[in-house]
Amino acid sequence: MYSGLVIDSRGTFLPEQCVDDSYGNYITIRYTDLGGNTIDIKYAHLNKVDVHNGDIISVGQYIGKSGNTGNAGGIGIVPHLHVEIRENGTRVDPAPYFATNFSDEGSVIVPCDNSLN
Amino acid sequence: MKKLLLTLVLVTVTIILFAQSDYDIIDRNDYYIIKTGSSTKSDTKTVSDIMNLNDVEQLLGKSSKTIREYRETQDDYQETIEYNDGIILRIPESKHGSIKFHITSSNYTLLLKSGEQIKVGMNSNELSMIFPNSFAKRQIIQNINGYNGKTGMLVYFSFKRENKVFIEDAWISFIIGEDGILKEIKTVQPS
Repeated sequence: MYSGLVIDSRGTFLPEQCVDDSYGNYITIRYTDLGGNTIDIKYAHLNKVDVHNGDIISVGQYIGKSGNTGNAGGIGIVPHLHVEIRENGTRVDPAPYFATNFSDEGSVIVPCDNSLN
Repeated sequence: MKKLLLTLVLVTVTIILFAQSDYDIIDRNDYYIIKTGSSTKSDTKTVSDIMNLNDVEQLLGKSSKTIREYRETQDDYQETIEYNDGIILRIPESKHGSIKFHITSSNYTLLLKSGEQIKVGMNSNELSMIFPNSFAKRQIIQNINGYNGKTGMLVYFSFKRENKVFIEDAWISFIIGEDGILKEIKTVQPS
C-alpha cells in the first residue's frame, strides 16, 4: 500500500475534547487493489486533522496530530491513537497490519471532560 | 506509514512506562452498586451481572429516564439509564464493552466483595486506606473546565482467568475536591 485516498475525516473537535463512545477527530484513508478490494484505515482521537476528503496520501506524509479527542479515556498524560481497519467494509483484527505486537496496558489519570461537549 | 508505525511503537513504549500494575485494582466481577444504607442479599447482582434495565431497576428502583444511544466507536447501541438523585448507568446492547456508571451523589455506594464501601462524600484519607497505591499516584487536574484544582485517582479493572489476574485497559476515576472530599466516581473505557 503506497498511497491512499482520504474518504472521510472530521476535525471539528477541540483538542482534548472528550465525548464518550466517540471517535473524536479522525481520518479514514482507503487503499484499493487492482481487484477492487478496499482496505479502509481509520485514525481516530486526533487533536488535529490536516487533510481533506479526496486528498491522495503518500507514505510518510504528515496527516495530523494524535491526541485525546472523543472516547480516548480523558484528557491525559499519554495520547493514544485509535487505528481501525476494514477490509471491504468489514472490521478486521488490525494486529496483522502492524510490525510489532501491542500490549493492552495504558494509563490516563484524569476523567473525561464532558464540560467541553 | 513507516513514520506512523514508529509513532505507534513509541506511544506503546510510553504507555508501558505507566503500567497499571502500579495501581490498585478492582475485580470487575466482584463488586456491587447499592443504594446507600441498603445491604446485599444472596440474589443481589454484581455490577458485571447487570444485563438490562430490569436488572438495574430491581437493584436501584424505578429510573428517572432511559435513552437508547448510538455508540460510534462500537457501531452499536447502548441503553442509558438515569436516576435524578445521582447516578447514570450505560449498558451496551451488544457484547462489546461492559456496563459503565457515573456516580455524583452519596445516594449510591460502591460495595466491594471485601466489604469496603466507597461513596461520594467520603474523606480522601478513607479512600487512601482502601486504595493506597492508586492514592499515591493521584494527580491534581489542571486546565480542564469543571475539574481544575480537583484531584484524579484511578483504580484499574481486573478479571481472573485460570487463576491468573488480568488487568484491563479500563478503570474507575475517583474525583476528589479541593476540600479532600470524594465528588465523583466514574468508569472509563477508552476505545
